[in-house]
Amino acid sequence: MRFKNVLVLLLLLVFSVINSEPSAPATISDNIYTTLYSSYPCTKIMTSDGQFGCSSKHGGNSGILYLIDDDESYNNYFSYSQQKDIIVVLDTNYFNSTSVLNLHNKSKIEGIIVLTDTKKTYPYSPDSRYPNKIYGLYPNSNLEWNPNADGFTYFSFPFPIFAIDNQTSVAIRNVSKHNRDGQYPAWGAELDSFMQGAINSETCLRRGFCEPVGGQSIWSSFSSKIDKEKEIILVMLPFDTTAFFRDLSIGADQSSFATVTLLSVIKSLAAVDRSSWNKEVVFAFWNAERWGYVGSEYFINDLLNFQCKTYNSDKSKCIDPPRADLAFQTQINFTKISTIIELNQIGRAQLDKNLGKYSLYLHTAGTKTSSVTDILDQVASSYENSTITFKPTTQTELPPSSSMSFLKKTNKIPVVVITDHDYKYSNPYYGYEQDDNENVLGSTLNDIVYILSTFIDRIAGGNNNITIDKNFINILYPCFTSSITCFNILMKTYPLNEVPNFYSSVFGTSLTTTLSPYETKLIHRLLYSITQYNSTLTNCTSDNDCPSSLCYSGQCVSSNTHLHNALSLGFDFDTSKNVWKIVNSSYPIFTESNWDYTALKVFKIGNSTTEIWFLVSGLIELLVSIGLILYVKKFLSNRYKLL
Amino acid sequence: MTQVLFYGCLFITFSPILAFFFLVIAKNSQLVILTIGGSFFWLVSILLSAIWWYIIPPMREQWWFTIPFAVVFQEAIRYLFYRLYSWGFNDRPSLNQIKETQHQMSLDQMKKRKQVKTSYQNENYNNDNDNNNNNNNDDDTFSIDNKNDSDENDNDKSESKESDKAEVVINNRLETLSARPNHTLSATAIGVGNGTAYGFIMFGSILWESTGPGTMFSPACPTVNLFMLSSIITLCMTILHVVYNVLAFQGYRSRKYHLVVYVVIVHFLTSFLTLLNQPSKSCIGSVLPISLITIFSVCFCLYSLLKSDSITKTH
Repeated sequence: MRFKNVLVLLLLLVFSVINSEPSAPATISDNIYTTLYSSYPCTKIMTSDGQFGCSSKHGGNSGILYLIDDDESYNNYFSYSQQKDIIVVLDTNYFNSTSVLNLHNKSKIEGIIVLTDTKKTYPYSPDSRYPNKIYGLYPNSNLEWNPNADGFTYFSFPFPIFAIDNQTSVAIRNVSKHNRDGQYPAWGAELDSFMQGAINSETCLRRGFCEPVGGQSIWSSFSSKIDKEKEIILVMLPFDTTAFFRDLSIGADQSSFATVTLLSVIKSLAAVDRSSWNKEVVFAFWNAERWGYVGSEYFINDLLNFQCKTYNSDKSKCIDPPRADLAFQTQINFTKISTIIELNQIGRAQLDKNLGKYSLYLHTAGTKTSSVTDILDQVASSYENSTITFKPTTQTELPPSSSMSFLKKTNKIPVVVITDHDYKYSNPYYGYEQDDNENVLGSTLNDIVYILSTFIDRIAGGNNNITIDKNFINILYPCFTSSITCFNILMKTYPLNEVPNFYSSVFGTSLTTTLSPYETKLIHRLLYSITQYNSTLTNCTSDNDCPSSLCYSGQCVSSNTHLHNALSLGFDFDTSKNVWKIVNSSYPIFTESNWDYTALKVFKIGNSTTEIWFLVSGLIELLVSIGLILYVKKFLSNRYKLL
Repeated sequence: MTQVLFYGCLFITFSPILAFFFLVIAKNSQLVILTIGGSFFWLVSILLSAIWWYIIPPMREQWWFTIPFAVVFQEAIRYLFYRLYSWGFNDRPSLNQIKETQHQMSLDQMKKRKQVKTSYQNENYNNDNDNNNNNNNDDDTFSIDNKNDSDENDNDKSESKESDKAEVVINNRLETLSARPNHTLSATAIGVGNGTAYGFIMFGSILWESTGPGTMFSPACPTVNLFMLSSIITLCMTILHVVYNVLAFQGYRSRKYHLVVYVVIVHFLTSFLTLLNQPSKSCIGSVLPISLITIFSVCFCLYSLLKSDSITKTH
């Protein structure tokens, strides 16, 4: 018995020790290397005939930090010791294709860290001068919509480039200055962003190291089922964004301002009496539009050409070719689309000093557009104290927009694209990380939402007094332009990265296993909850409890909101080999390389001269010890029995 | 430059002890076994210290509390190993004892041969030789292997063939294999075992990290490379472990317990001196006294060996 008691005591002791075990103690490498978690790598994208972006060596590139923050340090770089491996710390002003290509071509460079603690002092876009030109309506156009662009995104670099957040930038700038002053020990960094993909999309897909760029578009309607006989007003926008560092693609003016506007418009329309509407209104958020209007093209192609070969048992899904949601086929008739209204970049309405109002521009195409724009003008002018005015554009061509996909199929629909620029983008940072909440005019948001809500109500046939939901806008606007940490009740998960990032990301590993980033899911659920028509009394704890509906605050909710694949028509999934294949390379062929992980670590570097002397003295010590032992063995053993 | 640092630290830390191991210990299988035994027993003592450290969570970060127990465990295990060693080896003849016996035997044989030559004939010779074989058990193996050996050594054949039957030739290799080395050398070998185990356990894991691009700096001296500092301290510690063992074994064997006391005190002292490497203390204050203590201890060890008969006596 006593023995048993002792055993129990021992076991208790062991368990208590195991339970009291704190988190694993820091290892030596943790003490040497500080991993910077808010680091955003430049990744690699494959095209049909090449690649662009960055990749480090396998295992990472490392070197001593060298700060370039003025012309003097920039010029000194070329005379700086080229013996060492150098990681260049670039002030954001020096981050453009001219400076970086000059550094790359004229001297050795191991990697670049781009600081974000200061703002660029000049307008800059790393995108092309006419985004998506060859996939648009006017492939031979001579216009340059985006005059500040230098095409930096489309260069391929054999070294890694990372951006770091504001706070880390301050720290890195300090330690780099430390290096410049020649203080010891010096600081270095290791940049690890090895991209598995290489050569081009075809090779990369065959090897299985890439996935097509794409995602899920979202469309929605207030009606529980769209009447196929009624005319359709399509209110839409491209909601994905791009940036050189894709983790930082906030794209406030590029998209997210318009997304906030449209969601708020839908929120205000949800409150009005829609019984007098004689037209169906469909709201669409196209994804992956920056990669060749992929989302809208795919949707239109499905509307026009989709034939299901094999249905599942209740005909709600198609198995071959796979579509998870067939609502587009049962509800939308392409020929019934009577009006298209697209919100493009509307965050930087330009101040007209004569009128004292901010002006947005209406780019029109197709037929009978005046019937639509007249109503808009009427609505805008009848709204007293409006700070917004609408002007017709002076351009004959449409700016890069999703409407082009529709106009490629028909020119009989009146198309109105609303933007904040007449010709050249008023957005100085198109496709750049600085296109954030400071780049857009939040003050114009309420008026734009009011006017557009009224406008859509009018053209749908209603005549309601609209009241906008200011609380909703006040939550949504900062959420989508600075920190995506709102609506956590809706999502039940927390985003990995606080920066709102509407980059479409990759489509998925097959047609049926799709990936959706947090932002896409958030917009989908928001839209779903706004346009809900019926909340059954079924109680639920998660979406799995609700058949063909979602769970909101404990109850199953139905809504006519759907996801639709946004994938280039050039791709198809080869189910026999289980790989993506390219079926038509005249469509946009963008694939993003896979990677295991990316990491940015900083550490202190020792003095190499001291290390060499240390090695030499070690070798001398070895020779001396050998000599001494041999001497003792040979001579002293005769006198003493030493060895 | 990172590989340079790695090899620099490797050579600085391990060159004396590894040179000694390969040039002296590896020549003798008994010494190799003792070295391995020494490593094993040191590991056991460190295992005990680790368990002790683990089962008292509040004191895990309190090094001043852990260190004395670790030293006590090491010294206790050293004494245990000494007892094991003396139990296993005291009855074994040492190398020199065997040599002496052999020498004595051959002297006896020569005497006898002279007697035989002067008085009788060659007949009695074989009988005598048999008697000798019975006297010493080891002689059987000697004679058997001796023959093989003589076949291999063609050069010596002409001499050995005649002398083979005439006298017992001493095979150095076999003698060293079977005989006990002298006590000082055995103690040194055990110390080398302790030292290498210490070096690889305490410094090997750190050393590996030096291959990366980054370097760690001493918390006490922010401009001193921690790898270099640790390699010098580990060098001192490995040498000290050899010295501890030689002195302690000598003290136990010859009952000069002041040597054991010296070992324990120095062990405590050096262990506590390493605490000076903590932040806001002085790394010079740690590495300099440890180096001086090491030099002094080596000298003291040699002095005490020379003063006693440990080195000069034959077994």
